[in-house]
Amino acid sequence: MTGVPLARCLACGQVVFPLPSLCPRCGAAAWQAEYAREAVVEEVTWRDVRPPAGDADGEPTPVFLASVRTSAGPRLTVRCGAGTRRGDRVTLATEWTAASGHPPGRLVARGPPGARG
Amino acid sequence: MVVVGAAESPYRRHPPDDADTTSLLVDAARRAMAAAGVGRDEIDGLAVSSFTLGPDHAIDLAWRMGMSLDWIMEDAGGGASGLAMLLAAKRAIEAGDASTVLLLAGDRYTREDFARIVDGYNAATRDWLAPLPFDGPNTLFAFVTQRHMREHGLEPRHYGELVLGQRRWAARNPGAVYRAPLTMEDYLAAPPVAPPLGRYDCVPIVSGADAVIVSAGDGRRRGPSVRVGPVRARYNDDKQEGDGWITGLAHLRQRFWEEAGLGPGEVGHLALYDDYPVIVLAQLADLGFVADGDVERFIATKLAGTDWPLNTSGGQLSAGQAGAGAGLHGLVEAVLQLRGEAGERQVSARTSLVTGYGMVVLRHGACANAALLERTG
Repeated sequence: MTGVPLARCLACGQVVFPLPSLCPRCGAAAWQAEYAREAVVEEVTWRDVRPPAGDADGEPTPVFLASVRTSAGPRLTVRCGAGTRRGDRVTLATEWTAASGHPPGRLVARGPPGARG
Repeated sequence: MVVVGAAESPYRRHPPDDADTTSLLVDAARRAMAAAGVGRDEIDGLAVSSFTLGPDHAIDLAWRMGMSLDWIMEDAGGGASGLAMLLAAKRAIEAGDASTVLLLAGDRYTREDFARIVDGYNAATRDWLAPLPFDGPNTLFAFVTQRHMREHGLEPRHYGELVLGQRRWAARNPGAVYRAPLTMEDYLAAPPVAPPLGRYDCVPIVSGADAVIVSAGDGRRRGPSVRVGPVRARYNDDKQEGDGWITGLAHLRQRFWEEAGLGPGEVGHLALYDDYPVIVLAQLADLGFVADGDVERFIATKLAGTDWPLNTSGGQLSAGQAGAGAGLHGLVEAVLQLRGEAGERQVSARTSLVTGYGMVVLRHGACANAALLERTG
């Protein structure tokens, strides 16, 4: 799915991720769905992730992760490509790991490496 | 209220097969009772924090230890649980609900336990971080560290000075799992974990438990007592909207020092929560130790090559992180120091500042607390 599901408070306009019980700013509980489709990369790191249990021959795989800021405000932790750099403008997608289209979901940043925001 | 004794069940990287969480907690409890000269049946309150005690709870532990109690609680605050339990016990004793309370925290904590717990830490983590895959909080604190580096113009070697300082203390603590001397070259050449974090920026996962006994303060115990001064806490201070390098301690700082009746420069010993070096530096700034805001200069003058009495057990970074035991580890070390029971690493101090921090709800820790202890007599 293109974009990441955010929620905008109908009372005060605060945009949040993930959907909370009450708005952190005003305490209201009515929301309008909206999607973040782009973001700017603020930090990048990577780590070796071990193979699943039972895969004795598997090698650790480097997984690149970024903290990105959406134009609506919320910052997200997302999977990204190896060439991603701070300042890159990326597009966002959600890969639902269940067919329902509800959490859990993997947030992914896609963008041409080196494309500066 | 006073602390009358504290102890730790030894931290181990590889616990014996027959050591489960209950047995580690009970071992720590028995050691603390022996240190305090308190008999089991004198204890009428129990507080417990553990990630792996389930399906048992505090009442099951009371039953297994044959304790009849007037007061009981369980805390799920992770690295902030130790001081949360201390504060609750203080109020219970002041209210007359209990007279002598045993605080317990710890885990039999294998790498597999760690993986299971971090992926299911809360619903937000389970739903949005575990699928990345996320593989624990190192990633999030790599981001926090990068922000802190940019804000203060720091490089990895600056965080290394803190790590090296704690390792110098660990060399004098037979209970620390990592005691070998560490050089800056070793630190900078360490295998990356989540850059800029390397191996020595991340706590070794161990099994173990910590115990503290507090009492109304009759003073008729074994060894010197330690008076519990102000204990203050702040939860969800920035609602996860900040950069992570300002903790809730900044919010409580003014009231805390006013109640303490002294300032940061007058504290003789510090046991600050150290899940990552950046969080120690954050807490020092939040509590007013970096008076001019120049963190780099503070590191150069206070930490680099000195024996400033900060995290004298070696901290979690060298002694190990025993799950929820991390929340009590600093308090135990502070009590040992103030009671003159710290062996080779004993310092001369009448006061100790202890902090807790933890429970990463999405981006960084949401709980922070602080306590001041003072030796009496």
